[in-house]
Amino acid sequence: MIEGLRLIFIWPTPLALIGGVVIGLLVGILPGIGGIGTLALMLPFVYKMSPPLAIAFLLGMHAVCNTSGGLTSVLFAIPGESANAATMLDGFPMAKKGQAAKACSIVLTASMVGGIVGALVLAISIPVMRAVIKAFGPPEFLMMVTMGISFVGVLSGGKPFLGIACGGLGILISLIGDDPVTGTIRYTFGWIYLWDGLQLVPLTVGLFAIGELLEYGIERTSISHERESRFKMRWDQVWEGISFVFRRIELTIRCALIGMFIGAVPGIGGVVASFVSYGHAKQTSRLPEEFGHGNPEGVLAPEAANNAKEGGALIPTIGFGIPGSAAMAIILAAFMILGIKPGPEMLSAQGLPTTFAIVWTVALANVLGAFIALSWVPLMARVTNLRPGILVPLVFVLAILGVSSRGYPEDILMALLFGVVGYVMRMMDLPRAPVILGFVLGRLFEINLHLTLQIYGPSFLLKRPIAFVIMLIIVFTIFWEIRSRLKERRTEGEA
Amino acid sequence: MKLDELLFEVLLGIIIIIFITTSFYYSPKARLVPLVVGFISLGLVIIQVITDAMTGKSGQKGEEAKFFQSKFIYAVLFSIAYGSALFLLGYYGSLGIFSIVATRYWFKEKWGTSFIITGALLLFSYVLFVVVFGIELYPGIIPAFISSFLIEE
Amino acid sequence: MEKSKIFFFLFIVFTLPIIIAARPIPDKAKIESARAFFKDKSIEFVVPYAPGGGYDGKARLMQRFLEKYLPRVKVLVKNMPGGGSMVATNQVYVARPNGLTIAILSGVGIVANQIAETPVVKYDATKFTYLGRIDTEKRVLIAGLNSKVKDLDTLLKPTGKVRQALTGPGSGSYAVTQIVLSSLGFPREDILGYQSSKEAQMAVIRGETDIHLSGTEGAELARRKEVRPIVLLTASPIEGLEKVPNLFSKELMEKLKLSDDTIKRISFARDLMSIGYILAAPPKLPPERSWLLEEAIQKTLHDREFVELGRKSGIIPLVEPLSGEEVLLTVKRLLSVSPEIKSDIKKLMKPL
Repeated sequence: MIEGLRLIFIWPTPLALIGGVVIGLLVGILPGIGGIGTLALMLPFVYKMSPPLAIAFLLGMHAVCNTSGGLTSVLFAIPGESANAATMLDGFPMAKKGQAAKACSIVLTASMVGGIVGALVLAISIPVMRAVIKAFGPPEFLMMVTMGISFVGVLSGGKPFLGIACGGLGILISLIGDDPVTGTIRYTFGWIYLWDGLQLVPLTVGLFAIGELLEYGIERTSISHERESRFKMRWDQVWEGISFVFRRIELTIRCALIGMFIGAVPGIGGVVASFVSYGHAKQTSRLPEEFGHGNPEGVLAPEAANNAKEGGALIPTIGFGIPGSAAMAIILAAFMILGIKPGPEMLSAQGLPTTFAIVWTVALANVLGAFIALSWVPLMARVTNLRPGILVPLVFVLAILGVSSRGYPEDILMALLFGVVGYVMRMMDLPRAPVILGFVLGRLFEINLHLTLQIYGPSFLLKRPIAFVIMLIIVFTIFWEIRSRLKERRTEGEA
Repeated sequence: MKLDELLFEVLLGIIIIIFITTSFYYSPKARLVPLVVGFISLGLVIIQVITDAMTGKSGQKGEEAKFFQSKFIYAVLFSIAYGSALFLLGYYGSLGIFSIVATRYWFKEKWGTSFIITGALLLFSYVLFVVVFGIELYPGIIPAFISSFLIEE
Repeated sequence: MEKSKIFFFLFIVFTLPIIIAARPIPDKAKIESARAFFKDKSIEFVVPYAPGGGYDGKARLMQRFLEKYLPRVKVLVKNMPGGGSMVATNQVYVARPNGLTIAILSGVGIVANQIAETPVVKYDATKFTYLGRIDTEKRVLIAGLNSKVKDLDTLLKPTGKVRQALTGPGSGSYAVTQIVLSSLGFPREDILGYQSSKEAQMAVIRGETDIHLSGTEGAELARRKEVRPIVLLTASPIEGLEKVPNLFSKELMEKLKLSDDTIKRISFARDLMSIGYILAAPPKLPPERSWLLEEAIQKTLHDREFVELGRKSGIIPLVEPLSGEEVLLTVKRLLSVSPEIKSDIKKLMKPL
C-alpha cells in the first residue's frame, strides 16, 4: 500500500496528476463534451508515458469529471455529465435563492468525500473483488434496476400517480430503437436517427436546462432572485457548504456507498447512482417536502454518489479486465499499452503496488480537484446574478454545445422539443425527475428481465438469494414511502 | 392552471396509447414490457384525470390563464423558429442571428453589447469544438450549398 | 517468439513493396497535383461507432501515423454512430468523392446487410473506393471453466443443451456466427439480450451461459485462463492460442467429416470475416487521390511502431494488410453467394 503511494510521489508524476485533474475539471464543466471523448483524445499522448505517469494523468482526469459537472448543474441547470442530472433538482433552486456559492461548495466537497470513500472501498474490496462480481448476474441487476425504478414514487412530489405515469413514459421512450433481445426496431416510425434510441443528453439538457432557460428567458429575469451587489464574493457561503457536508457526514458516506455499489454494476451508470442516492436522501430526510425546492441534502447526495461510483467502476475493470463503462474501456486500453494486465495479476504481490497507486490516484485527484475548484466558486457563483441579456445567450450556447458532441443536429431538435415539454412541466409544477429515471432504467429493466427469465425462469427469486434480499429492500422501501405519504395526508387533514 | 393540467394529462395519455397500439405490431417478447408498463401508466393517468375532474377546482380564469398560454406560445414559436434556422443556416448562422436579435430586441441591450456577446460566444464555440476537439458544428443546408460551389474539386 | 509469428512478421515486411508496386500507378503529374490538393486540408476519418469501441480505437491509432505519411495533412476522427454502422456507411457512400472523407467500415456488416437486402441499405458495396484492410475479424469460442463444454468433442456431443450468450440479434455478425454454429448441429439454447460482447464474456465467466463466440478480447481472457478456448474461427494465427483447433482450417473440417453443405457455409463465413476491418472512401474517387491515400494507409499498416502499439494495446493484435483492389474482389465474390445461404442470412437478420 505504501509502495503504491510512493509511486505517485516520484516526480514528475505529481505534475501529471495535477495536469490531469485540471483538464478533468475543465472538461467536466463543459456539458456534453464527455470525459470519454477527451480520454480518447488523450490516449495517443499516453503511449509516450511511463505507467505511473499515465495512471496519474488519465485517472486524475477521469476521477474529477463528475466533480465539476455538478457546478454547471447548479449554476445553469445544465448537467456537466449525465450523472450530474440529479444535482440540478435542488442545486438550481438553491441558485435561484441566491445560494449558488453554497451549493457549489457542497457539490465540490461532497464529490471529494464521495470520491475518497469510493477509493477506500475499492482498496478494501480488492481481496473479494472477483468473487463479488461473479456473484452478481442478471437477476441481481434486475432487482437493482427495479429498486431504482421504485424511487420514481419518491421523486414524484405532490402528484404521485402522475409522477409514476411520467416514470412509465420515461421507460417507454427508453425502449425506442433497436431491442437487444429480439433485434426488433421499435417506435422509430422509419426514422433512422431513432435506431439507437433517444439519447440521454438531449433529454436531460432539454427537459431541465432549456426548460428553465425558457422560463427566465421569457420572464426576462436573472437566475438568482436575490438582489445583491455586483462584486460581493460569497466566501461565507463557501464555508457554509463545506461545513454542511461534514456535519451530515453519515448521509454523505451512505450516499457514497450507494454510488459505489451501483457503479460497480456494469451497464448501470452514474445517473442511476445519483438519482437513487437523491431518493434515499429524501426518504431519510427530516424535511422531505423541501426537496426540489433547494434542500442542500439534495445536492449532497447525488454528488457524493457519482464520484464514488468511479471507484466502483474500477472494480470490474481491475478485477477482470472488463470495463465498467465506456470511459473505463479506454483506460483499459491505456493500461494494456502500458503493460498493466488486469485480472488476478493486479491482485498479486507484484501487481499490488500498481493497484494501490491507482487507488491513491483516485483519492488524491478528488481532494486536489475539490481544492482547486473551491477557489473559483465565488467567482463562478456570480454568474447567477448576471442580467438575462448576457446570461440567456450564454446558457443557450452552452446547452446547444452540450448537445452537439455527437455532431447530429437532430439531437438539438430533440433537446428543443424536450425543452418545451420541460418548460410546460415546470410551469405546472409537474415532476420531471421520474421521466429521466424511467428513461435511464427502462432498457436495463427489460434486458435484465428477459435475460433472467431465459436463464433462470420465473422462479429466479428462489434460486438467487442476493436478488431476493434486494427485492425485500424494494418492498420495504415502497411500503415506507406509502406509509409516510399517508401520514402526511393525515396530518394535513388534521391541521 | 387546472384546464392546462388536464390537457397535459390527456396528451400524456394519448402518447401512452400510441406506444401501446404500436406495440401490437411486434413479437410477444418485444411487446411484453412496453404493454405492461404502458397499461399501468395509462391506468394511473386515467385515475389522475378522474381525481382532478372530481375535485373540481376551477380552471384558471382570465388574466393568469391567458398569460400562461401566451408564454407557452412564445416557447413553441421560439423552438420552431430556432430549429428551422438551425437546419437552414447551420449552427453559427442560427446562433448568430438569434443571439443578436434576442439580446437587442427582447432583452433590450445596446447594439454594441449584443455584438460583443454574440461574437464571443461564437468564437468560444469555434475554438472549443473545431480547434480543440475537432468536432464539426452543423453547417446547415444553405451554407453547405453555397460552399459546394466555392470548394475546389 | 513463436515460429508462426516470426513468419507473419516477415510476411508483412516483404509484402509492402509488392502491394505498393502491384497497384497501377497513375500518371506522375496527376499524383503531384493530388499531393498539392491534399496539402493543408483535413481528411475526415469516419468511425461508425461511438468513441471507446474497437473501431474507434483502430482509427485513432492510425490517425497520427496517417498524418505522418501524408505531410501537412490533418486527419480528424469523426464518430458517426447509429443504425448499427448503417448511418455512417450510407453517409460515406454519398459524401463528395474528393478524397477528404475516408471511413473504417465493417466488412461483415456492409456485405451481410446488402445480401439480406435490409431496408436501411442505401449503398452498393461494390461501388465504394476501397483503400485497404487493417485486419480480419476473428472469433474465439470461449467456455466457462465449470461449463459442461470442455473441448471440441464435448461441444459437438454435449451432455445437454449448450447455452450460448449472444449479442446483437439481426446484425451481420450475428448472422455469420449463427450460420457456422447451426451447421455444426449441436443442441443449443440461445440466450439473447446481452448488450455487448463484454457482458456476454462476463456471463460465461459467471457460468450463467456455457459459451460465447467472442472477438479477440475473448482470446485475452483465454490467455489469462479466465475461460477455456474451445475452437477458433480465424484465417490467421491468434497469439497464445496456436494449439486451439481452428474451424476455418481445412484439416479440421476434414477431420470432423463435415458435409459439403456445412463446409460451404463455413467457407462463406471465413471469406466474409476475412474482409474484416476495411478502409473505404466514397465511390468514384479520382484514381490519383485514392492511390495517395492507399499508399499512406499501407505505409501505416507496415510501420513497426504502429504494429507494436496495436499488438501491445490489444487494439490490433495482428495487422493483416490487404490492398483495396483485393478487398473489392472479395466483396464482389461474396455478394454472388448461393441462394440457400442468402436466404439463411435474410432469415437471421430479421427481428426474432
